[in-house]
Amino acid sequence: MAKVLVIDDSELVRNFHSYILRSEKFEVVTANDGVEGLEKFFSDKFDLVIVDLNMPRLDGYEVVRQIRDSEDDEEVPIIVISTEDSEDKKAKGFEAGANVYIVKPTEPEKLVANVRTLIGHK
Amino acid sequence: MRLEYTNEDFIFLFDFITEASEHLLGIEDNILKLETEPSQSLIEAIYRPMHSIKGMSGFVNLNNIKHLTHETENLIDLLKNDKKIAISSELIDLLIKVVDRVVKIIKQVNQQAELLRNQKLDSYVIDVPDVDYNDLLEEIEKLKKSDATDKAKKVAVVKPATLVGPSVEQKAKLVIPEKLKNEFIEETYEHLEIIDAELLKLEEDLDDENAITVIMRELHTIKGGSQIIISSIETDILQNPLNYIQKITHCSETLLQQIVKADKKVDADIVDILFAVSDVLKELIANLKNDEAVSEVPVNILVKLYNFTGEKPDDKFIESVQAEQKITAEDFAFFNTALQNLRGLLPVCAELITNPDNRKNSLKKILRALKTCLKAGEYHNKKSFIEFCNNQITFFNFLKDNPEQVNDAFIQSTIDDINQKLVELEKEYAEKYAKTAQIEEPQAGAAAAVSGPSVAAADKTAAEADMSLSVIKVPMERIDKLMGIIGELIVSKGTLQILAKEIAVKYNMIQLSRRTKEIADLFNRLSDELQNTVMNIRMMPVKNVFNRFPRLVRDIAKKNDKKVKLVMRGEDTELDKTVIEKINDPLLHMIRNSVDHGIETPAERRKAGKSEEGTIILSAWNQGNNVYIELQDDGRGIDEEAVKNKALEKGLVTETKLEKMSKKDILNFIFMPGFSTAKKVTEVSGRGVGMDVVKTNIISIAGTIEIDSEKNFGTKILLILPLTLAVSKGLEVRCGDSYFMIPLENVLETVKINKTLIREYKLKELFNYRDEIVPIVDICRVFGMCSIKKNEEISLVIVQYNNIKFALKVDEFLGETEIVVKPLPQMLENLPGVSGTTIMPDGRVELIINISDLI
Repeated sequence: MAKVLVIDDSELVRNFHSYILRSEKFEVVTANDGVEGLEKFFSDKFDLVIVDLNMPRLDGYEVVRQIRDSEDDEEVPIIVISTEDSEDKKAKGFEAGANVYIVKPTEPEKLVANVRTLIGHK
Repeated sequence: MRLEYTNEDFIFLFDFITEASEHLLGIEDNILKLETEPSQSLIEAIYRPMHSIKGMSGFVNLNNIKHLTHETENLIDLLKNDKKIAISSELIDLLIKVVDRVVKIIKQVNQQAELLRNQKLDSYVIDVPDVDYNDLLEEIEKLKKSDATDKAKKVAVVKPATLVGPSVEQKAKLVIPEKLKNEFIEETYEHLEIIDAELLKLEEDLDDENAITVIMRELHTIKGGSQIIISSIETDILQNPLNYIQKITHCSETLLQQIVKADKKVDADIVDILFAVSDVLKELIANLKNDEAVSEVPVNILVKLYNFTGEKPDDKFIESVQAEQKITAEDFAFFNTALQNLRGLLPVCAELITNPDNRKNSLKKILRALKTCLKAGEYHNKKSFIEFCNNQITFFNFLKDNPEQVNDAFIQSTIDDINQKLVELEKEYAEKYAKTAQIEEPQAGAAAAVSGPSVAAADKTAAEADMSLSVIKVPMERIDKLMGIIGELIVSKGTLQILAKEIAVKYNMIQLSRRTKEIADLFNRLSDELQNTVMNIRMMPVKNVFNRFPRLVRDIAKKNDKKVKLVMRGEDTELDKTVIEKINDPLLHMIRNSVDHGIETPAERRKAGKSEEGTIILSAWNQGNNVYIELQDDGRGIDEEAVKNKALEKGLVTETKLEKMSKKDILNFIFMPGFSTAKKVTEVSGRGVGMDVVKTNIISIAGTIEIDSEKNFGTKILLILPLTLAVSKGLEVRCGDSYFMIPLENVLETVKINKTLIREYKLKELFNYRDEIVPIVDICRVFGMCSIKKNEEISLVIVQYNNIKFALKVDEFLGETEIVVKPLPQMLENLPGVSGTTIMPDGRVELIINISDLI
């Protein structure tokens, strides 16, 4: 079972995403903010990370950056999810090292399809 | 406009309401702080929750909230990034208005949602509150434009077409011979009813072989029927409900067959699955009845069945089903990934030339983007795209190993290649998108009207179960019910103790008595624990009440041109919900008084040598079994002389008596009804409007109130509140043949004194209690019962109520017990001297004495 880390400061969004992913047979771990997200990320192995941009303590860009800084060749796929729809925010997401940027609100099927795309067949 | 929610969306709506309300309280709090001490972190603290609300409102389709918060967020953004607009009171007012407006919308939604909450519906329809917020949008625009530099920056930005595919699924019509179909539907309903009945039996008794056989037979019949129809019609539509009916019945049958053959046991999981099967079948039959295709494929239930039977799932079937179902989402995922990454890659390519120092990093990014594209291509099986990606990856890998080969021409041609691919992909996407849009557009309306019941709804509930919610909402009445039951449990726990004693004393069976007592002890401990746990459920932080005060203080202060700072402490102190509800009004009164009358105008304060800004400190803390809430201000205080004069004027007290009174007693006059409302005192002392109301409220929840004030230095009001109202301790006493309960919080001491120590004065009995003259109240007389037999020794309970001490004459003290207060029935509500009843371990009902009535 593929393991996904969902980092978002909104309980609603966390529940929503975990609910969708779990019902699609993914294993989901959640974190309340960037700091907790990184802690969980570094203490386990994940097949994919979904991260929000605006979060207290540590924002999404920084989370992505720190994950990328810690990696060598093997990179974990990262999906940035945010309400920000502007091109420069998206560019900033890629700059930090995200693989895909999805604009909230997330449609369940699209989220799942994107996750599957990035994880590949497993 | 109306919104329609499915079951689980409806749950999210409640999540949204709770979470947004919390955010809004926080935002309001921070907006007020922002006015006094602006800081970036505060702006951030307003921005973030505002942003969250925006995001969440999108989920639950509350677009008006989304719109309003979005605009507000933009406004705050200006404040945040470049300080393009200043923090003005205008801005603060506007932000507060926005919060109010959003609260209003949420309240209206919540009202509607609450009404629907306990109903089990397929879909929940909510009217979007018709709250106009255009005025706020205008104001936001006005504020935004208040700065000229902002305008210059507003260059039209051309937005690339966003990748939003339509999500409405197509509903195809089925053509099946009417007569055949109707027969099948009717029969199947009957079969399903039988299956349900047998399942219930099976659930009771998991070994019920007969039930299994019946269920198997019924499933088989349904399967057979569906096959007949399928073969008689020409259909290869995948969404044909009959296909699924056949598939599901077949798998369920296999499952049961395996159980029978292998002599396996039926467990609860299997029964659950079979129930889900029955539900899904009902939905499918409903689809068939309405001649609709299946909108959401019941893949989950099939997967579950396959998992159980271990049968090799019909891969092609499920896959084709999924492909059919998710075509737009899959396409979206591919195009989204590919386009985003290729677009993002272009500027980085340019950087290879312009910023050679960062080449290694740039290459890393480019390769990452390309690999992501490759992955997407592979997953979605796009051959030419895979080839393209592989070529590019080889090229950039080469550059990575031979950085000296990077040159303008090379890069430029690559950029051209990528650009071309991008155009190709965009075209392909646009074509596909247009096609699906065409098919679905005319159906969108119709689909929306019927989109409620979904086939997958039944098996989704199973997934819902493992959705971990850290907080659940429970209706208050359930907790009250639980409290009531536990109350009786606590009361009856004493019975066992009594029984143990009785066994030993009356029947002289020591062994049995001891064992009974052991059980009684265990029972005691458990019920205590249970009681504590339930009490904790009802505990709420005083924050819930405190939170609205900053706003209140600000409003009143502004109206009166005063400067007032409200400091709150101990907001996390917890109190029982019943108490919390009762202290809101008194606190509101007290704070209003403080700001309105206590705190002076800035000019007056300057003259008095104080800082212009007045301070009000509201604190809460735990002490013993009570919660203390203190309100302290540094205003003008209460003029003791003015209170004295007023008391004399009103004839509440004689001059000689007044001279002997302590300051505390004098100040207590302001709690007298009608005392403080007189204008004269209000002008002089500036205190006390509605203080009697405050006192009555606090007394009604068995709290006490203390006041202290120093002229020109301020006033301090202390509320001492019980942790809870439902359970307390009482002292049981006997008067003649009757038993009464005296609330322990009122009891100071019990004493036995000799008759001779009692003095009589003006028909009142008095005695000297620790150098204080205390009046004696004879309970028997109060309740009109025959007097106590004359003893040499008299038993007295010294009680205190609101600083007034007196003694209650009783015949016998029986001891201290825990009591659960039951309110008096309505017709006896106003009975003087009695505040409620309680049931004793032996079943007797005792009256609880209301000390305040006896004064």
